[in-house]
Amino acid sequence: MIRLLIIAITLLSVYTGNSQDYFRIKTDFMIKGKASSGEQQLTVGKIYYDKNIKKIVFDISFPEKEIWIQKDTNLYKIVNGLVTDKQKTPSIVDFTIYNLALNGSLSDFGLKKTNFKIIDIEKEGNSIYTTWEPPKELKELYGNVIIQNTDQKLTGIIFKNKDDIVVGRQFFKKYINIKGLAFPTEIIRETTINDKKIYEITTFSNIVVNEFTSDDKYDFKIPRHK
Amino acid sequence: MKTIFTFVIIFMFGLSSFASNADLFKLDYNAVQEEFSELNAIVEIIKANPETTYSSLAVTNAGLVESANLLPDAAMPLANAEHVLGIPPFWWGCVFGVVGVGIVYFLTDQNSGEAKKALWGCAVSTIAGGAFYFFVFAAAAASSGG
Repeated sequence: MIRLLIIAITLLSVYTGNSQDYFRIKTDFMIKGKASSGEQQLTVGKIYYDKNIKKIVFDISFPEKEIWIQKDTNLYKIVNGLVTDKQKTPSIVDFTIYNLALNGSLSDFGLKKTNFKIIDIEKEGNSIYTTWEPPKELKELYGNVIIQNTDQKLTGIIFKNKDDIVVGRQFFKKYINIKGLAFPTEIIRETTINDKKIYEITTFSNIVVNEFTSDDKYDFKIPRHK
Repeated sequence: MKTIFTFVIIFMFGLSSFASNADLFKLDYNAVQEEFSELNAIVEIIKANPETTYSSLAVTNAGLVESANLLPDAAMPLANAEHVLGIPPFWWGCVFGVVGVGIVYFLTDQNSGEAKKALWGCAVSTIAGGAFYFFVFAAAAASSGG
């Protein structure tokens, strides 16, 4: 009887643990972009991310079929099974929306784990506005960051320059809940250049969390260079 | 009269200077969507046929591609001859977000081509989730021993 009880408790604890442990996310994405010159860009595809593997796999179908993989400090472009380009990058995987969401850090955009400090919290309506001040080392370059949380979800970010002028805004909209994980299905980015506002809209759909199949997609093997 | 005018100006300036944080987050959502109305026709074609590529679209719907002023490339211009501080404009946009675009813009003597590449870097940072900007902060935080 005691043995059965132990097994039941163990199973229950494993089940409870899994319900809160998010490690994989897969989503369709579409990005619409428009430059001030009027040129437009459309990128469509799927994204696979496993926080234990730490590779972001972009399986792009439009404008052309190609795969981009962000791994460590490299971004690979793969076309027809061959690496056609490789670019050195900063190691940014930890600071992507996918990693932040899976680790429960999206609500503060990961700022809590940096040297940014909260200098003001304001409540207005249903939203809370938190102003983060950059560390002194960065004050010559960057200004405050204001984060808007609504119903405990990240709904907006404002970036200011050192002169306290807003230089960019991002809005996180249309959250859905997948197995308890809240994830925005629309991100609007506003950039101001030459006093003109430029917009990009990213939409996510068919989001899957903790998929146990398709290991080869999440851990896409990077082929040899051409 | 002049004094009253001065007070009115100061009062109005005061009002605009103390816009609340909530005001900073106001967005004309419909206007933003309207920006992409031309692109939506192409989106519908892709939804109907997910195998559509730019190459095929340029053949079957050349007029639409032209009127939308659609670029043929995904946002990954890897080969750049002139880099700011040795960093391709693409990555300035990608890593530094909108601030990076500004840096490229000013340091390249307002070379719009370079700034445009940085802007597309921003687009890729959107693909990657919009948080690239904070790589810089995190790196600085780590190096400051924080």
